[in-house]
Amino acid sequence: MELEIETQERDGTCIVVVEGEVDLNTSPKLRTVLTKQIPRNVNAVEVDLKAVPYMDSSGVATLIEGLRAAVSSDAEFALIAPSSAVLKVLKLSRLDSVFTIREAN
Amino acid sequence: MSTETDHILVVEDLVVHYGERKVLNGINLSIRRGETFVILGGSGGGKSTLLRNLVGLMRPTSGRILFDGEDFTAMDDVERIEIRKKMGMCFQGSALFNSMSLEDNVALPLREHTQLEPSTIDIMTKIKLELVGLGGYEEFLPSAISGGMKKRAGLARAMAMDPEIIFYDEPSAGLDPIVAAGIDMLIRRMQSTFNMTSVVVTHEMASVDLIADTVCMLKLGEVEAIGSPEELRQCDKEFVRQFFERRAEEDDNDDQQAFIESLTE
Repeated sequence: MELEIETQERDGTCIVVVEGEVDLNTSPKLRTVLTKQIPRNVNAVEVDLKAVPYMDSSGVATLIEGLRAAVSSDAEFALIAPSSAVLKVLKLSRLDSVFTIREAN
Repeated sequence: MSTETDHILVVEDLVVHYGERKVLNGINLSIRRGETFVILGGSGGGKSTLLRNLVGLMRPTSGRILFDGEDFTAMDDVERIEIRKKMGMCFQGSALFNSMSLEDNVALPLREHTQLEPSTIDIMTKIKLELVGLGGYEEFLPSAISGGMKKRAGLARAMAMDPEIIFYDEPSAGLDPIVAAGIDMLIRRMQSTFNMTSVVVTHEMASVDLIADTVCMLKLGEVEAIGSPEELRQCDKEFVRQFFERRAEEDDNDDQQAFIESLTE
């Protein structure tokens, strides 16, 4: 399944909308966006995950790399509307508390 | 109604020989996506041979193994490697590299088979070790940890590539009952969180109720019974009852007579 990623900037927040499954094959694409293509002057990064039905541990690791990149730029990093399947993986890895998780805007 | 796509693995008329000796004699079974499928049977019944065929470490004499509907047995080695990337294997002896730290053991398949950045692999490895309760042991060598911890490290490595299906060869062999139950719970947790299909070869009856959705009992290279643990408990076949009730084999007088004759005649 192809991974579609769209970024938009609004009021100092970079919104990354992800659509599709994030796995070993597709997570490098998300990594490139989260670690290399986010403008350094934004105050916050929001990763919209509502259209992500499945994420493996490479996806979770990529989100952590995105979080690290945001923190190094003093930006807030939040996950928006992860599906229950994605939340389950985050919880099992005990990483749900590491991320700010919000419902859909 | 079940369809072909509900089954991640289908075995059709599988026959395997070691030399002249037939070890598997026409095995037929189907493994549903997401279930925990337990292969049970006595020593020499063909369990490990079946497992080796399912993961592609052996080629059968005849018959087919379909992985996601594709004939795994007919594939060349290059195609089989691609399929095997979707499989995880948890070996009986853990099969860790003794000269490598636990972290390097778990990271190895990711370094060998993916294009992921080292930083991503590093985080994935830490996640997998944390999942099996070995967070903080990244730098330890296998020789410095207990047998139960080695099993868990082996499981972390088997899960490294987030496989669709994971095979366990006697996961609780040689472990005390408490550690063994911990391994069983771990298998169950992985299955429910990642929807991973699990195939477990064991002769531990205690594991069956804890983890099995389906039990396949092998006897002398053939499927003696297959069904839910409850169905097998109701089964009236002598071998199945004997196994569930842990009764010893009665002496076979004919065999004994043949043995005596072979020595004295």
